[in-house]
Amino acid sequence: MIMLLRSRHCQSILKGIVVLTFLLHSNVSSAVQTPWGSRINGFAQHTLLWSDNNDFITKSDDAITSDITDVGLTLTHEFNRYWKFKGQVNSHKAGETSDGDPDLDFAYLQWQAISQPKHTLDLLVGRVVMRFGFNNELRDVAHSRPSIFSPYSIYYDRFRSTVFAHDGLGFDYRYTEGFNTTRFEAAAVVPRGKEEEISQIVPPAGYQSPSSNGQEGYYWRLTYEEPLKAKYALSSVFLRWDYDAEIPTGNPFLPFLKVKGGFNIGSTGISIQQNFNLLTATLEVFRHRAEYYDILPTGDVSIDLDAILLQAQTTCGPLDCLIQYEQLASHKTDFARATKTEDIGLGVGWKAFPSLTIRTEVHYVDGVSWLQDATNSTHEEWHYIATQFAWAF
Amino acid sequence: MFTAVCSHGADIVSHPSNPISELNEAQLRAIFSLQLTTWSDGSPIVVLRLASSNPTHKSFCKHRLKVLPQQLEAVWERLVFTGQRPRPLMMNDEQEMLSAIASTPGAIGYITGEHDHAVEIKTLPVNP
Repeated sequence: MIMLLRSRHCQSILKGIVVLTFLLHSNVSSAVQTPWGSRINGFAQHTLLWSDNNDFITKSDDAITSDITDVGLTLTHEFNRYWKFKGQVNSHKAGETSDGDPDLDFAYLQWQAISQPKHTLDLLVGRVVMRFGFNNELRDVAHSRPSIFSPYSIYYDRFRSTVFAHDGLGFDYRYTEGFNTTRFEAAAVVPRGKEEEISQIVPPAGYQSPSSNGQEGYYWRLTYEEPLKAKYALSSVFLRWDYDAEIPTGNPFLPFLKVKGGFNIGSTGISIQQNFNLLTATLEVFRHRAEYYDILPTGDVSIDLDAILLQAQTTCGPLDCLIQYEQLASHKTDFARATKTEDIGLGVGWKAFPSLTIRTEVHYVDGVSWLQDATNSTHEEWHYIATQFAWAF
Repeated sequence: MFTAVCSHGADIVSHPSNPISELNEAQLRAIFSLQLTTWSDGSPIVVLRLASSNPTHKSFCKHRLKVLPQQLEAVWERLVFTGQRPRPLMMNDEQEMLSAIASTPGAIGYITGEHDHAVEIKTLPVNP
């Protein structure tokens, strides 16, 4: 028993229980209003993960990971009717793949330039969120998205600093007819990205200390929404990083060869969400393209990936139920020499308290192409079960 | 004095000063998804809600909004954590809902309407 209590996983689980117990008894279940008029919301979530044939978050010996914790605070301040500030700080700890250091997720000043009954236009400056498909609906922080995990969200969690929000200028135009809204958002940004995140993406292998020497990025998204009924989106994102990189040569007199090159990623897709009477169905289809240029000894390389997500949510008695299918197909083989990965997930959720949600998901996966560094790439079929405790105020 | 009659799930009630006398379903969905934030006279809409486990809330979601309760929660959470809107105000029970609606200009909420209430509020018929 003592050995069990001293184990790393048990301690992590106990820590999560203690924190959640404290939060539930602290009566903090709604936003905090500061004396200067700001509104603060927050969340904390702890996830337990079991997987076979693939230790995908961390390399745990016994295949159970309890080292997945997210904490976040969101601050909103309205200076007046026209000027607002919105910001969020996040900490994402996920085994060996995310360190849990707090990160300024987004922070921007918003000015309402046009405010008419049918037309509104907001201008944004600061760290703005890249509106990638139904990003907030499908792959934002785990407590507010339908599933705990999906291939999309794993990437989004892991490379959140690199893909989620960047410093720049944007606008948000909305046209309302009846109660339905057509919205066009766009921004031009300077992509950021933690060096440890970027170095996992580019260069792919054999390079040391890439340093950014140029970036550009933009996004646009067109949406049409009938509130609580239907939502459609067409969106595109492009990000480019230029790098000075040092290639190890193995020659003691010239240990590194300096090269200039870069990497860019672009994604374009359509997203559809429809609410039926007791069913919410979501479909998202995306083409992703990644290009390495002037940086690989093998020459320029491009990879095209086609991603499909199909998701349905409904109720099963007192529980929320979810079923989802996700497929990622590449025109090139991955490190397991396959071109397609499929994920089928089933989940249930229970709102145990107004501010606490408990969810469990079971996934069957065929393939590994969306994992960066699977520890067992020879097993193409594998499973994982995740249980999450999420508290938000 | 107000007597509400429950026909299709919960009844929609608001502060007596509310400038409108009826709603349609699209308008109701726009209000409770927090997309519509002002009444026709420009005054702010204050949305009140009951807990997710409350039978009246479930009935309201299913029969009035025709949406899953968790889907409505998800819409609110996304608005909160993208800094766009505060959550609707949580009421502990229907009595608290009635009192808050009667005392809060611009407030809108829902009750089952199975009993008389000695508070002054306005009921809003919902047209398809």
